[in-house]
Amino acid sequence: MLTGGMALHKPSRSQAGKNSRIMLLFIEQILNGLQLGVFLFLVSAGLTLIFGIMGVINLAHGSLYMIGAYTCATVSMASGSYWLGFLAAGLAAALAGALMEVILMRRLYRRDHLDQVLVTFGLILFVNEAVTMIWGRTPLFMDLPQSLSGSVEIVPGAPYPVYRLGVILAGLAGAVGLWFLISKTRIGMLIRAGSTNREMVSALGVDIDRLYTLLFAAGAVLAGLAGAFAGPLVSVQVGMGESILILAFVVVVIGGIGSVRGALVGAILVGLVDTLGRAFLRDFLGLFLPPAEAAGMGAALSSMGIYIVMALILVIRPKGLFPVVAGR
Amino acid sequence: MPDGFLRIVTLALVVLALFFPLLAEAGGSAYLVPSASRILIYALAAVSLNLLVGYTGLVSLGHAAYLGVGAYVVGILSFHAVEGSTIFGLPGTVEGLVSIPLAILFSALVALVLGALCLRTSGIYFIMITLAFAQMMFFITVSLERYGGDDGLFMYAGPNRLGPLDLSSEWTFFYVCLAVLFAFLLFCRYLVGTRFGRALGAIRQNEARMITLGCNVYRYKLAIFVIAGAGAGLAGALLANQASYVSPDVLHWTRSGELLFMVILGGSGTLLGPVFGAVAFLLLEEYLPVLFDAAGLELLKEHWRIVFGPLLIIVMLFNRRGLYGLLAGRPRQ
Amino acid sequence: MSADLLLAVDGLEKRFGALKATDGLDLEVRTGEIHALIGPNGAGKSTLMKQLSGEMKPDAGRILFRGADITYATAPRRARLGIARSYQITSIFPDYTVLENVATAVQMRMTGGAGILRRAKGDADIEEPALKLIERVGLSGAHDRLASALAHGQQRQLECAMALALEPSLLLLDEPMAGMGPQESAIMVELLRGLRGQVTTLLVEHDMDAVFSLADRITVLVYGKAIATGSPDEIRNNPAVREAYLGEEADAS
Ligand SMILES: Nc1ncnc2c1ncn2[C@@H]1O[C@H](COP(=O)(O)OP(=O)(O)OP(=O)(O)O)[C@@H](O)[C@H]1O
Ligand SMILES: [Mg+2]
Repeated sequence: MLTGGMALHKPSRSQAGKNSRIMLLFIEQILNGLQLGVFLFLVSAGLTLIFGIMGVINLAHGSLYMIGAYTCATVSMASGSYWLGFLAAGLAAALAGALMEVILMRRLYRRDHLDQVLVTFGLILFVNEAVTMIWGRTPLFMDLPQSLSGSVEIVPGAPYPVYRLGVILAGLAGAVGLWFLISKTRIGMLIRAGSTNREMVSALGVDIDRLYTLLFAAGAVLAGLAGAFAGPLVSVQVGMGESILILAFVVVVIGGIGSVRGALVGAILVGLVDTLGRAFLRDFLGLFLPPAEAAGMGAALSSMGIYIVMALILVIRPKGLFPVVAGR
Repeated sequence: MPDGFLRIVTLALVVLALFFPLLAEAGGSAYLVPSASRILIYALAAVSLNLLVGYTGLVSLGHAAYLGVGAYVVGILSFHAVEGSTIFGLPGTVEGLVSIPLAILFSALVALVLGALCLRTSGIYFIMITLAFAQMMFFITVSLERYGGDDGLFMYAGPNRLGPLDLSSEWTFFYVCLAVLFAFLLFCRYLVGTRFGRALGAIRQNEARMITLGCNVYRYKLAIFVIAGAGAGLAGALLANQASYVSPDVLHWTRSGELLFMVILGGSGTLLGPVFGAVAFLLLEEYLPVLFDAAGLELLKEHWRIVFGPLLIIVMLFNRRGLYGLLAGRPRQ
Repeated sequence: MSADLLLAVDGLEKRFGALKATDGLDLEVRTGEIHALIGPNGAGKSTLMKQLSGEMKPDAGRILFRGADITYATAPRRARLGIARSYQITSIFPDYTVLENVATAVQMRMTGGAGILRRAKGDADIEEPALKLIERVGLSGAHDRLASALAHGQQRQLECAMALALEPSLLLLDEPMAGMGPQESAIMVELLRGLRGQVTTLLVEHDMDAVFSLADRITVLVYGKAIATGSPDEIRNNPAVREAYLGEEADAS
């Protein structure tokens, strides 16, 4: 059906050529969707862990993503090395996250969600303004790292940028690493125990405060690295954190709060639905509607796509796809 | 009824509001009247949000969506009236007696649909999901190419008429906003005093108990969600008239955050608290840069938010009961 | 099924992981009786109460109320059918006065589409029955006080009033006397005695004196199973019960 839709718009080419072109475009968009999903996963994983374990909602999580992107852009431009920028982004985000936890979040664990929302909202205003003071209002544009600037052919005739492919692989590796950390290591065990029984873990002689600061910093690193990955692909600007944050909320709602697995599935779902919707919905609607209306409806519907998916999932499973059961 | 100091402040504010245009004119600052109208409109939106947050315990982080729906209904009707075209087979209009009720109706409908979904969840989920759906509404307005998309929509016909009243007069508009806010406050006072209102308060305090008392809490919550959405829609309709311009900016998620701030800053769960909150919040926003300018702090004048953000944080961390509570002096007994 | 059977529980099961908190439980409550449910800590009494009120779903088994299967009915539905409960951990509306608390419960029983927009304060239709209930549970002087400001025992009395406000045909009381001083307990015992014959009551209570003086029949729960049911005398003399439960109690006190 999709191919038919495209064919309507490009009547002059030969049938076979058209179909393979559509196929390639489709593969490319799927990869783009995966890549958005990976960014979203890195941001959502920190969010969902922090929700799940400490019970706080942190609107300023997106700010860590932004801090990562700005740091990466600045350091890599100054030093000429993307990887140095990448490292610096992780460090800066970790530092910012740890500071955030020690100065503010710590006071919020026992407060209600409303207070958490408002305090972290104030924090966003602060961070955004601080970033504006340091970097100004004009967006930064980063170059791709030299070593990853080419493209590879995944299937014959479909070149895809190496960098984007790398981001996808790195993100998936991150997901596996995180899963391993949480379900197989002692730290992960402490984290899981801490979420259900703060007192017990304290009694075991573990410094819960330190554990929480570390955990918060770890979530921050994930967000910061996502920002560093995104740096060369998007314009680095104030407010970039909030748009990804709200998408991450959608991911977390879909996946189930506290579930890293849910975050992965949700992120990839959201990434694919959003990317494919934007790429193909308009042509798909063109099958049934006149072009002007198809364009209008397509734009509106594709921007609604992920929210519709979220609504559907919510109707079927109000606690998300992988609801976290107490004690797990 | 508020007592003591609070009563005096309230009375002073009411008198100030009643004579504000006169006073402003006499003081040579007539340009302040539109800003004052804007404050009244946001106060209205904050009061409607307070029905959810303060009285029912539903923390909605997406209230700007309904503000936006109300504003766009007025804007779009005006657009078609100017263009002479139809929408859903009906002509546009610049008559407020038609467009404002429609704005209320539409925002109530949107609140009904979104509320029906959001209210299936609670707690953190509810906060995130109201924010997410509001963001969806934001993107929908961005994608409305015909109505200006990103750039927004100018109402070339200017503000609506309202029966015999002409809303393009700044004075008239101010008094209309004041009257609407007053009427809405009376309505809220009535509403929270009813059995319905009492049930809402009970749901806020102990939802589980309400359920075992046989209450269908979902329906109660949905009803108040729709009412609050309609109130915000009314505020949105006024907002469109104030600027003769609507844009996706009205639905930006920070607007929802700001409304929430006004409610808490003023004192949630109190009738007048959100009004105080809106006044304080918007005055701070407007005069903080002026203040820094007067103090010769160039950098802070430009970047006043670097102070505003922490200020809000400090208020939230240390003043739990809001301005209203501060003025009232002691907790309710 | 005999006519005077109000509630029948049939093979009820509830698992928490490996733990069977309710383990194939059978129980019959007759119309008009005070039926006490006793058992050591963790026997599964509160868990059973929650399944009866609809706050928790059983994993297997059936619950019949007046012969109708309500195993999967929601909590509000059961409340409207006439099952009301009070909680082991006090559950009231802390920011409301005593009168407002009870009036809210009364209003929930009367829910009518139109009445909902009537002014609540001073509404005789809900306040008069509420005041009567407040008097009945012995809180007469306190109707204007905030519920959060009441002493613990008074809050338990308030909770009883709220449960009674629903005019239930089955009252589920989970340790109404927990944390009460002797005086408060005595008031509560009198209150419950006054309800005998009017409201069928399923009572969970650790205060054995109260249980044995109030109950028409007693069921003993151990590890989620009913090991005996009978009159107070039968239970007192039941060797299995003595061994499993009363013996311990006697040693402990
Ligand atoms: N939500 C739950 N999750 C896991 N285990 C639970 C849960 N609720 C109760 N339990 C367990 O089920 C068992 C029965 O608990 P329940 O509260 O029903 O006991 P009880 O008879 O009311 O005890 P008490 O006399 O102390 O009130 C206990 O071992 C308890 O730890
Ligand atoms: Mg118990």
